[in-house]
Amino acid sequence: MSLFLLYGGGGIILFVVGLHRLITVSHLIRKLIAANIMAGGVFLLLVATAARDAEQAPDPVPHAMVLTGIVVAVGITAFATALIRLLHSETGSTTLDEADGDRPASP
Amino acid sequence: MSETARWRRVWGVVAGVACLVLGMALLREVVDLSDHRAGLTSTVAAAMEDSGVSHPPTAVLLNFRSYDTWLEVVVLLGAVLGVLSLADRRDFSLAAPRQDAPVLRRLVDLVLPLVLLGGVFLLAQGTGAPGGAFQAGAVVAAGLLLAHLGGSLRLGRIRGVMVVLVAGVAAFLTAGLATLTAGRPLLDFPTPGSHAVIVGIEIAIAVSTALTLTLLVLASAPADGPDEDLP
Amino acid sequence: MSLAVDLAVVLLLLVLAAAALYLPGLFRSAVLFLVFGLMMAVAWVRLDAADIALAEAAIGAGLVGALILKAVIQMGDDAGERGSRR
Repeated sequence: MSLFLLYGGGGIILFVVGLHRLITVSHLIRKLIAANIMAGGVFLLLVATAARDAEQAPDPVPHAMVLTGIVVAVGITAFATALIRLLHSETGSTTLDEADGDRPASP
Repeated sequence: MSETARWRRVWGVVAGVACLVLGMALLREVVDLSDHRAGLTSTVAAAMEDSGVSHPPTAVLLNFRSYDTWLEVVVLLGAVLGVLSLADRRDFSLAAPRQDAPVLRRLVDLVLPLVLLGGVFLLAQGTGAPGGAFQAGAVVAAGLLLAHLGGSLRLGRIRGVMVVLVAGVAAFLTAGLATLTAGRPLLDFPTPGSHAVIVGIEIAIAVSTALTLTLLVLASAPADGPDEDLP
Repeated sequence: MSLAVDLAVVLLLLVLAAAALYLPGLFRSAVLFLVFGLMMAVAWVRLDAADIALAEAAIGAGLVGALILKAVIQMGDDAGERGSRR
């Protein structure tokens, strides 16, 4: 099994598993962790495509893209945690659900 | 079980099946992809002489695809502005540092200069070896955060914070405008000056990224004193 | 031999991710996610991507992990989800 298949396949599995948790759990921090794991899976696949040819040096363009992706991910995660914390301090809940006994979504 | 719990169970199964199907389809595509060998390695290698640096990823980041990097820095700026706007305090003062960690403080006082030196080193060698502006900025940010945890970073209103935060975007803007007024396409650096331009932009990115990342972590702190005890 | 190392790395990544996503306990998830990020840095080294390894270790694992951990801790005891802090 080539390096690309191993890491690329692993990246796909990470993506799909993260996607599953992203759309099933309601706790926002768990969703955030799931989204970050999905991002990690995508990065793995990208860098695996860069490392396909064993004779040549790795392709630097996917490297740059993943670097950009990592930086964007930290920015998004920081903003998301600020928003989640604000939601928690305003309403006391950590989910966006309405029918869980939390206060109803009111304007 | 209640209505919502039943729906949740159903949705869990549906989502699981859908993700499984998606996963298998994607895996098949990955297997298809494994035969393609055409990458951009040789294309980039052929253009390295015109790039001004000797490390291919740096050349791609700051020369060949510098527009992407510019927008990346803009995203970082947007994130820190968002976090600061949601912060409890109206100025840039950071959360009160811990007062009761003498061992940590002493350790940080010893380690912080090395961390800063490490950041400068990563920045300096980024043009020829693995490293670069973002890595350097992250290392310096980690050092600043350690200093904050140890209690030796006491910042009130940080004057000029906004200037530092926009430095990265401003550097790209300056370079872009310069290339446009010289009649070249946007951010198309001329070969003789490209090294200097890249190094200048990298320094600006490193400084602004360091402060941006530090504020991203710190500014989302509660307004009332130190965090609760870390476990 | 080297394939065994890569296999171990990918397996560890999958196990850590699954544990972070499916195990109860928010704090445990956050810590496991941080370790997952560090394991990703190892994966980048195996894939000959040194710049990304540096960035992942510092930003991807360090800062993102710290942000999530910070959020978990600062939101205090949350109904049911805090779980074990061991």
